[in-house]
Amino acid sequence: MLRITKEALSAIREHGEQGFPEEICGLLVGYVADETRTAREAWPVENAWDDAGGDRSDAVASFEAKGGEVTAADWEAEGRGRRYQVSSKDILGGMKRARTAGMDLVGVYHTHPNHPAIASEYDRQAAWPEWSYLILSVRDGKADEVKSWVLAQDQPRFDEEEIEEI
Amino acid sequence: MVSIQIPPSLSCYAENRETLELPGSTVQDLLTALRHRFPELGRHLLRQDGSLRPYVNVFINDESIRGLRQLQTPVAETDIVTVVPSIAGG
Repeated sequence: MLRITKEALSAIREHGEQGFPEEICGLLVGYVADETRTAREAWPVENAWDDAGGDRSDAVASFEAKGGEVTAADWEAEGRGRRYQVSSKDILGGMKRARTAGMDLVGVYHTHPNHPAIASEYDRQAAWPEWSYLILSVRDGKADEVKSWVLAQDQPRFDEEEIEEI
Repeated sequence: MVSIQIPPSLSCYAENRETLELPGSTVQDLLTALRHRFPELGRHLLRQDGSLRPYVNVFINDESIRGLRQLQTPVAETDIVTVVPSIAGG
């Protein structure tokens, strides 16, 4: 289950609308207790997916190796309108900033421009256990439905989890 | 001993600890010790041959080991080693 503050969710909606028609992304920051992730804040980060390629070929090949229906070539078939990536430096910076604030990274958010908030095979293949993957659908520039996903325990499957606004 | 910080999401594979104190003078030493002590965590971070999985990055202080000497990068007790996961999707 993901608990998220109204302020964080509002910030994600605003970020998603501003970034349309590209995918935007950010970090969910808060704490975990009893398998419930609480996101107190949403920290936007740059979508580092470079349409011209970049330092990711080993990573996407590895996602492919984790198993799933999409290949490294499939990953590269689309641009920032359908892909997102967070740079290692932004992740490290987020981890440090969260620790300083007495919190942790509890998940990631991103948008699906003009697509439903259903986790894709790309999302699942790149996902880490125990994190919430919140997806906001943005339709024609307006924030729409939001859903959150978590990897099933020891299963190659994404499960939708309940979202509670707090 | 060198401090190595792991993503909180993986702390469940390390007795709920986010910072581990491990022996070693290189990143390879630390990760070998990590895998020995926490095999399930090691499975998430390392291939069977002991090399780092590509969707995992390791920073020494603020520097990625990919820009240094990779797994042979030396570490000192004053260093903070951080395991950083890749984040991507579509």
